[in-house]
Amino acid sequence: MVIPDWTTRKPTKVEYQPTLGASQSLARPVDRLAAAIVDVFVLVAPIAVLVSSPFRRDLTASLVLGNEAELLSKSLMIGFLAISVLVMYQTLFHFFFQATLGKMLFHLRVVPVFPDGRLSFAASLARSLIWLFELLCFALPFLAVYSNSRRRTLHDRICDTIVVSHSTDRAFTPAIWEKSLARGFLLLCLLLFGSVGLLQVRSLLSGLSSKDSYGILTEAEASGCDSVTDNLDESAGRESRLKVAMALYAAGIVDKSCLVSEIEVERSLRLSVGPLTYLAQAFINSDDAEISNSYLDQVCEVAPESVECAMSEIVSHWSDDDLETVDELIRKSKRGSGYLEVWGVRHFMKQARYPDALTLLDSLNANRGVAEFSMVQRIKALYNSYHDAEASVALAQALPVISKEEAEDVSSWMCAQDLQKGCDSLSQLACRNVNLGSGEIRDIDFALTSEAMAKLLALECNRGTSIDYRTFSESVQDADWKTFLNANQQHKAGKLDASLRLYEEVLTSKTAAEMLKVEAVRRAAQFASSEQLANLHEFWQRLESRETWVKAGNILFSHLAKQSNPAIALNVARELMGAGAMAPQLVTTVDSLNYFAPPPQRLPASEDKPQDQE
Amino acid sequence: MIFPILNGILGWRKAPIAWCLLALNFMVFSFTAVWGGPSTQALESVMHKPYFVAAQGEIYAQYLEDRPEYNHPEFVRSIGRQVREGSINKVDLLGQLAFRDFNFLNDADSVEYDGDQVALKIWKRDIAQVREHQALHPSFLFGLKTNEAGFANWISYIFVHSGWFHLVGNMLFLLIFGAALERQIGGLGFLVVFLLSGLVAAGVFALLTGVTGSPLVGASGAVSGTMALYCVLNWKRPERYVYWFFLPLRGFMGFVYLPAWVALVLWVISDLAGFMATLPELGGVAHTAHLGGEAAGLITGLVLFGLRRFWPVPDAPALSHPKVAIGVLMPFLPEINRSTTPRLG
Repeated sequence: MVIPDWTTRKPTKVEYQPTLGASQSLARPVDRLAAAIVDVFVLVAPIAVLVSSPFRRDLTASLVLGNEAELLSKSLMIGFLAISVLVMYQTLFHFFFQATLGKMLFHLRVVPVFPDGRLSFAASLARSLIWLFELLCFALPFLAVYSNSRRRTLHDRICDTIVVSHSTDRAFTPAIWEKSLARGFLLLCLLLFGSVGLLQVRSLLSGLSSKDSYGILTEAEASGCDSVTDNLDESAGRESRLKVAMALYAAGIVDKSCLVSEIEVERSLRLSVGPLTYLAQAFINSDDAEISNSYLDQVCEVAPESVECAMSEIVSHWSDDDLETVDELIRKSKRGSGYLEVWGVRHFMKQARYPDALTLLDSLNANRGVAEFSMVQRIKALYNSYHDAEASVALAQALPVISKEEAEDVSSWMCAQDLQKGCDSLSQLACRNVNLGSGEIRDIDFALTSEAMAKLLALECNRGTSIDYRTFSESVQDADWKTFLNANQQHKAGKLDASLRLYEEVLTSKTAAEMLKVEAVRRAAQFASSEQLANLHEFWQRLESRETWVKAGNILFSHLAKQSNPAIALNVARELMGAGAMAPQLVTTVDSLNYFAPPPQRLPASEDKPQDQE
Repeated sequence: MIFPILNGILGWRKAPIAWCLLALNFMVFSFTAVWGGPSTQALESVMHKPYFVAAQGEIYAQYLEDRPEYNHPEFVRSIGRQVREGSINKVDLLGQLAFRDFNFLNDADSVEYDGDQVALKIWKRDIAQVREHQALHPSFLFGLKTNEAGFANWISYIFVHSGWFHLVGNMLFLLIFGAALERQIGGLGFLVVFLLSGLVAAGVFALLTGVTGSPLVGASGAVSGTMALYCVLNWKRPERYVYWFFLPLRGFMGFVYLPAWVALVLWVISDLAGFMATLPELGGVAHTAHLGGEAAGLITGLVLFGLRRFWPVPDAPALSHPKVAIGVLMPFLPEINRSTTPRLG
């Protein structure tokens, strides 16, 4: 506690005496604003810009070169220079002339509030510094010119000054409404800034708490693609990063940016540009056929006997739609690269050559990065090649290992295929692993075809014919699903022709998912007449996707055989068997239809017989 | 914001040479825009291909390393080193900077690169196209490329502009200051000053900025000389400026009478600051040419001042109300009264 010294003389009480005479009055706020604008923008800014020019050049250079330390030091230097120029200008002009040039232009003067005083240098300096501080507070303290009874702002009150005007345009003590308006506006601004500040603090805290994501981000910047780092064997050198990235890219796990960043890593290691880099560049530049082809050619120029060259040739033939050569090249190519096998598996799966895909999958076993891809494709290949039991075992083995999303996806896919065969499969492993929901439309996401199909089929199994397809159809956005559901509704209403037309529409749609097309064929074939089946056969022949063609072909054959339409049935069987895609359980049916009889088109014209007698 | 408008824009009868120069600039611009249009488009399409720019950046990085004898600026060499060390985000910048290196573009056929040979092959093909298009491009034909400029280029560069904004900006100042100067010193004097300033501006640009693959175009150096000479000849004379202090309030925009030197000082400050603050490798404005023009105008003014006894320069004609320059603003501005200082607020 400070004890006052009562022995000394009491300080004399300073009486306030207004200094404003007849020729002086309070300065108008707009004049002060205009003077400040002239000072800052017309006078100080050009000088500050000129003085700080060399530093700004260095600042640009350090910004471009990413030199953060220099960037910070130069920024601080520029800020310091600009502030110094402003403060010194105001201080010197107020001290010597009682006004800055801007104030002189508007006939304003800064005078001490007490009668005998002169504005000291210290007071001038303090006034300038406080003025600057107020400016940095979003200029909000300047609002005091509207609320203070003598229009004195914070810097005026601290330094005992007042701004007066010598002109005839004068201001008076602010009115009550003016004060209230200024204070209300200030309060509003403070509330606004306060809430924004709180939000910023909150986001900062949440950012700090999620340290993991921050760590991952920084690591990604430093060392290329994350997925590659995660899947790289410890024994493997940095040279094999690109190979892993290529395998991941082929499996659809990463995108082109991963390849780009791995090439960046290669460059930083100053590795020589080899065939794999050229191959990766061909994929990166796949949007520009000319550049991509140049890279593919370069691969075989650099290393004609390499796996990369084989891959390059495969891609070239694939671009030319020469699929038979592609199949041959994949079968003959050397194993062990990873990416070629993954690419081959995807190709064979698309071409419905499941045994070939399974052979390639065997050689992918050791590849850690694409293990999940490998397991899922194995399940699908086994299932599609009619090894249902083995597929179920593979699914049971994979489910605990693979990610939840992938597990749901493959289970839905298998469940939907199972349910197409019959409702008994609801209790099978695949369907047990799918959340089939309550059977309401809102539970079905039609963007996920497998899951939506599994749920719809499960619903049909549980509710039978009581499903209102019209309600479903109205709430679905996807046009193909809408057509499919409308076809079901027409079928339910007994309008078979209309229903068939809608199913055919799904079949010919360019955008419909493969599974939806197969299901459309299955449903249409169930009630189609002999002639309608013949019509469907024509649609089937025009199918572009081989996977759909195989599945739909087998369905069509079984129905054609049942409907005593052996000529077309045999045609279908020949085509399927020729492609090695006939379901084993249907082979006996083919035998019964006398598969080995000569095909009708080879008969002489004179011996042309009605098809049903053949 | 403050902008000198002097007497506004004078009619063509009062300043025929200024208007002729304006017409010539517009004609050359129209001609080059039509005639050089296809080559400009072709050049743009090649030069903005991301693959080409990235490849050029990588090749240039090695070129900087392989050719230390050319003494490339340290700033460019630093970027080159970063690119060589694998910094992919600097590649595009370096690729753009390479366009300014005349030696690199000249050596394109013999450039060696130990990296991606496909990129090198495609880049060599594309750079050959770029050079073919450049040979037909007006800016390269008539602009000033300091290492291979003929005498004609030292004058022709004044009349070529790179775009509408460039042309209109220069022509506005030409009409304001050129026309005013023409009325004061006569048409021939003005023409000589204009061309002389252009020559000096080009010389200063060549000296200070040095050899570059980007040609110098535009009348700004010559216009700077014109402006500087007018300001020197009318140093203390109050001239009309139009100002606007960012607020739509009465008094925050209008006219103010300030001495002519204010315009020159502000102009020199901005160019000096621009010159000192801009890395020559990155800047798109030839501040050195502006400074050269201003120096030419300033020196001419001092010479005329020294010779005033033998060759007196007449006073500039009295101010009149501007007719064209701010005619659009007139209804919104306070009335001009020369006898009193304009009041704000």
